[in-house]
Amino acid sequence: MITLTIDGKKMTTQSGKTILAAAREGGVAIPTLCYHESLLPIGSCRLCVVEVDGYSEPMTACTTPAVDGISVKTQSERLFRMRREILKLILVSHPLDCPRCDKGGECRVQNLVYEHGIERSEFEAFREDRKAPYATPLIRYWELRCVLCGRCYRACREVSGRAAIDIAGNGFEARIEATNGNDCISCGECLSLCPTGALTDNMGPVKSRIWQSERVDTTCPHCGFGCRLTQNVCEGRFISKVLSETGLPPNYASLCVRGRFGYDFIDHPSRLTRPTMMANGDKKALEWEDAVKVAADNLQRLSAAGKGLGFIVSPRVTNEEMFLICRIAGLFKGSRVASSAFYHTGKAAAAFRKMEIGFPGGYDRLSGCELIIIAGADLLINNHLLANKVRETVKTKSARVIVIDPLPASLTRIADAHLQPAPGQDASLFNALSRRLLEDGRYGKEAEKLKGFSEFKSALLSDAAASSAAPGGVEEATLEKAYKLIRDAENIALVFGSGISDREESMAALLNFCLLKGLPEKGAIIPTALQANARGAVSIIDDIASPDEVLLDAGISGIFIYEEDPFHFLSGELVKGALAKKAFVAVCDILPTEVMDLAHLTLPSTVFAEKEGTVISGDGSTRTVARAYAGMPGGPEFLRELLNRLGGKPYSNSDELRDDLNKSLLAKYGGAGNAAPAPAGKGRFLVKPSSAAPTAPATDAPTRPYRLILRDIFASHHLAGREVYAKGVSQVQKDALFISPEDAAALNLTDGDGLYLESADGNATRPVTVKAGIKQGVLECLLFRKRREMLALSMKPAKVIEVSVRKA
Amino acid sequence: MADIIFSSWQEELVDNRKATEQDRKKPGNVKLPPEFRPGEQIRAFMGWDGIILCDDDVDIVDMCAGYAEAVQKESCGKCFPCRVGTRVVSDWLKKIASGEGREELPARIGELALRIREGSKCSIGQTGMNPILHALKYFPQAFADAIAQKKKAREGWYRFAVTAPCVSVCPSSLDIPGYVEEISEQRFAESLATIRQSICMAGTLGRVCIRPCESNCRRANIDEAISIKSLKRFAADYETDKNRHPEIERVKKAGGKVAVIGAGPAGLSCAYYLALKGHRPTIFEKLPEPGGMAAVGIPDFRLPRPVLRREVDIVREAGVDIRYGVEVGKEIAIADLRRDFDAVFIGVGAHSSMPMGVEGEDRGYRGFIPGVRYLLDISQGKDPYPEGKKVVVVGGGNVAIDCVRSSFRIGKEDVNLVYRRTIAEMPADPAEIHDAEEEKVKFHYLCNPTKIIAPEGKVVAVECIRMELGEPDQSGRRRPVPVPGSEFIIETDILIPAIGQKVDLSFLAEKDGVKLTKWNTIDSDGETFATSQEGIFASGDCVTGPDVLVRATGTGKRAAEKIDLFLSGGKVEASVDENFKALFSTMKVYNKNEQLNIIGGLKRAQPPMLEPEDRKWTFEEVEQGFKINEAAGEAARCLRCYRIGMVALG
Repeated sequence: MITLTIDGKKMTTQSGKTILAAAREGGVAIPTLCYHESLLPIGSCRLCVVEVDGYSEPMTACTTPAVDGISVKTQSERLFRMRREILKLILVSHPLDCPRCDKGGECRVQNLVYEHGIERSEFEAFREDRKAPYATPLIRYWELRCVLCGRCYRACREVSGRAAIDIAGNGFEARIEATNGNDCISCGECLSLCPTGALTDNMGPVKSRIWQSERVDTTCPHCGFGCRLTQNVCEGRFISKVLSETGLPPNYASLCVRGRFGYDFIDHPSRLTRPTMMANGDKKALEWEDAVKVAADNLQRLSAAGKGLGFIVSPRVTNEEMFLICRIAGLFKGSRVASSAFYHTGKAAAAFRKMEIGFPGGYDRLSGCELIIIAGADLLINNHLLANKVRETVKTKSARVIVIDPLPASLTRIADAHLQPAPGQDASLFNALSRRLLEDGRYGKEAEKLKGFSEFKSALLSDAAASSAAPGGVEEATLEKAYKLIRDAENIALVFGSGISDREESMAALLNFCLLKGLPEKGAIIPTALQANARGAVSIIDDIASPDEVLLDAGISGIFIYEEDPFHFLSGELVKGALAKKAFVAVCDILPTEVMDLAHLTLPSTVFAEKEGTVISGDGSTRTVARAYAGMPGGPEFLRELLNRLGGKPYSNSDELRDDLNKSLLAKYGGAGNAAPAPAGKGRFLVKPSSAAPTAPATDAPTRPYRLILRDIFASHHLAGREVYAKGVSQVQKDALFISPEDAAALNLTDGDGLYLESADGNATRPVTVKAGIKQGVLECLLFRKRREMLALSMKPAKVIEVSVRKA
Repeated sequence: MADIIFSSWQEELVDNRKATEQDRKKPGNVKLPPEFRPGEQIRAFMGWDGIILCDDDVDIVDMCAGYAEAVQKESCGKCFPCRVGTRVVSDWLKKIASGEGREELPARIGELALRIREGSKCSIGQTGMNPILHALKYFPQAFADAIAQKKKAREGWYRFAVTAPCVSVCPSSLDIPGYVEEISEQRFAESLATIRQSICMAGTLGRVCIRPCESNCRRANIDEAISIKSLKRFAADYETDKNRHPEIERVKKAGGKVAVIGAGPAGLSCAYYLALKGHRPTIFEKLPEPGGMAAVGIPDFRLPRPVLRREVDIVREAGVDIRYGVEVGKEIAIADLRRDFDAVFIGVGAHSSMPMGVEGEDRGYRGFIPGVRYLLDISQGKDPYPEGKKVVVVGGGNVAIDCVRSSFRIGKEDVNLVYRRTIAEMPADPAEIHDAEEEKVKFHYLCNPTKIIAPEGKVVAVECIRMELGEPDQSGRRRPVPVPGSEFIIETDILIPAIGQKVDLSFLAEKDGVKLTKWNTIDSDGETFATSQEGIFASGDCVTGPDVLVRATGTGKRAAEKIDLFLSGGKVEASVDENFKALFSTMKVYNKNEQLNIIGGLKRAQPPMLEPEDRKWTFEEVEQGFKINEAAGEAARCLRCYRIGMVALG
């Protein structure tokens, strides 16, 4: 710790901190423009100049380290004059656009110019506005407003790990250019950090001023990471933009493209407004009371007839809604509650439970790990902020990164090793790594005390497949490199996604490996959370089922689907066929979906911006969803009425509901904030997963030469379905089918050519894009809107589908 | 030297404008040559430290406008005062120079220039306004006249270049502030690309360079020099660690075929840059591996061979063909190369051992192993003399230090170094000497061998004589003088002379006609690298005698540029950049007495090293690289001392 004096005030700080950091800690304000906490100091604006006793030249506080014993002055005539001149220089080409600039009223330049009493600048220079297109259509660059503080291109690199924009040109000609626009992921980091109105969002012409708007913090509904964002609500009527200035964990000041720009579906004109019912082939509008009655009557009728009821609830809705649905289901014997949260979070939670491993929750432990492994997860689409955290740990602590993925997933850019096992062969890889650790004796000694250790050890040491030098088809030299990093690391963070949870034996092999290296005690195991409340679903729904199971269950005759569209992630044939056999189908959602065509009763729901409630994010934290404005009645009200009518508890206010919800979670998981996978024992090794072979992957010999990997299966169907609902995001997120350069060459394909795919269950034709880094024999399909064809390739829900291909 | 009419350079004011012939004073710190390039007279010089005027005819106003424009062109745009301010100043000066100046402009220019100087982030802004402030101060009439008479200035002809203290002494002219800044901004791949514009051996030089830049680092004026060398290593290692691959851009043209003799640093450099320019170089290397002295003279614990090999792979990828095991002069003759290729580059280095002048050294005694030979054998995995247990190395340069340190690593426990002067005069890298001391090499200073004692043809001892330091010799070091009657014996069974290397010129036949210097090195022109034979060029140790790696790479690249000119039929001469480098070397770009008046207080980042007791027995690399955050933090200390010098030639 060192001591220094700033403006006569004595303060202490850690050695290595800058004068600016010390000042901020000590409550002394120094004017800044280019400085931002999430970036390394830039030093471009020169406004934070200070004087230090004994040194005749002023220095910038943001770049100068605090030295023990110095005496700093932040205000003086000279400093004021310097700052004033700099601001005048900024005004040389900064148009006085304030009345029509988005930033008006919340602009740093505006504030600083005002503070320094500048009425006009006596300097002049002509600056040309090149009007060049920006890196993404969602953001507009106003070249003349730009002061070239440098925050944007630094943030692009430091925070998001991209390199889409850069400063171009020298001297006064310098400007920000999309030097590599293809690299842009529209995360909006640049937009968020811009201190002026040089970067504004391009979502639409309707904007609102800060004094017209209320800012309501809520939790992002698009994935399960749990980002906090701020809804800018204009006059209580609509959301005009989203901000990321909460400074709260887990995302602090960052968002991804969906969080930042994925709100315009809220106001889509196709929003449902009234309940409707199918009667004699016609759609008839209903009053809410009647809708409740129809639903209740049908459910009771079927139950009385001994038929089962199925409830499919979206993993994006609040805990409160899920709780209500479970209460409703609980009134009927033989009812099942399902959610698409099952497919990844559900399977992961089951695996943790089976192996008695507690999930400690929280993302912060990642920052303390010197090695971070990302397996079966591409963090670019979901949990992008988790990738930011990895990048931050690399930047500040020089952590090493290993990516295990058949595809060139996000973070391969900074990976020390990228292992590419064949899709689904992750178990071989993890077993091989575990075996080497056992052979070399480089595992945590605590592991020996866990149940199943000796069986695991002997099974692995006698398994010939686990001694392969290229398990799962990975490259030998890369495996060597990765193994050395793993062997020598004390604290490892292991992030895994649906690429692993897709197969039981992959999950088991991964968790066995974790236990060997002392995780989660030393380090962290972090499953990605694909949907906003997947953990909530898995925690609240007892005996959670998968949607396809419930649909195909012949014993279930009545289906209630809440804010979900099974057509979005399951084979259309399967869904159509299953629903045709159901006696009663009710669907509650906000926008028209395919499944509504087959529903007897359709009800409008409300969007997250109109709800009050809580969700459980991927890190196990309960976060609030706050109402931006009151919408029309919808899903949550309906559920309460329905429960009441069916004889359940009448919840008149949300506090009662929350109490009961918390009580039930407490009873199940022992802690108010705890959720599934619950912190349970210290773990046990699992030698026999459900498949017959001890540690080998289930299916081996592929029947067809290519493996198609489907990605973003569980994207919200509110982004694009029948129509494009989220116009903003749809401009930058597209359906895509990627193929390796070698395969493309062999099949004589270039970008845009059609590829015909055939599986055991169907066929599809799609244009391809060549992508370097994909292994041969692997195809990557990013699902956005055009899902039908690709999902039809597998009757059962699958992430990896075997296909044969030829040029179309 | 040119006649100086006026000089304000480096705080020395000499104003001869009104002086008569006799009263003319000469500035002590200005050594401007009369010509910048053949036919281009230096009429004035404007730079970061002031103005030097050699000719009355120069229009000061126009020159200032030209200089301000140069500053604007070089301004990176990343800080507000320089980016905008110098543009405003430049516009104002242009106005005055075009006869549209207003009366208040000079004062306003002065005011703004002061703000730019005190507010800018780097030396471009901090020094860029200095000469203009000097002009305003010492030539106010010129401005007043231009404004009052609405006079259009006489347009001059100027050339300018950017330099920095570190850059000015780098034999390879590496853009040091550029690549260091890129590391501080986390742009590691770009940093390496910047480095590769000047050298193709970043990992090698990042480990073994003698770093003249660091002794000219302005940061040392406030705390400690930047670890420029280790940052270079970091950039190179980052690419390897993250499995990246550089994109090599070559000019697509039907270039010429060039024969390069020697795959050492000079040859590799020359070949790489020739290949980038679209030519087709073929390297003939007599050893079975590339690298020259870097491979077989520098042991793996300082420079691991895989690092070097990877760099050579990239050189080959650029389009260079390397043929190993081909000795020019034996398997193939120079005459053949001249016939089959469009140009020849000689980079054979200096690999022969210099004799000590000690009785018995030419008898072929067992246990008497020249230093270069010793290191070569060790590099090939052989113990040069297994039956020997005790080692005495004679010499004070890097080869000698490498010999002693390598001796431990092949199992010799008793290792000694004999040097005729003291540690202060030792030419070896001080860091290496320190590492050798840590490894417990026994140093014997102020003694020199006189006789080898080897009854039965096997070394058993060496007779030495004590020395004392007398008058300095031409290198500036005090000459060692033997103390009569002070002979003594050191018992040893291995004696290694490592007092210097010479060039093995046996590959050259008389009829080849390549002239040699009086020191028995190849005579090649200092600017064009051309030998006495047309189409044959040479650089590196074979021209200069044993010298440093970074000069070999630097001259190798420059030779490639000259060969390119030769092949395209252009005039083979020094480039404007090279002229500027020569010009800047006559002025003190680094001023170690400069008071910066800002806080330092930071320490230089030190790369971690293995413990001496463990490392001395293995060939594992002793020094490790920086971690990402260490590198970025160290790089952030750089003050970015770019500065602009401009000559007025017309």
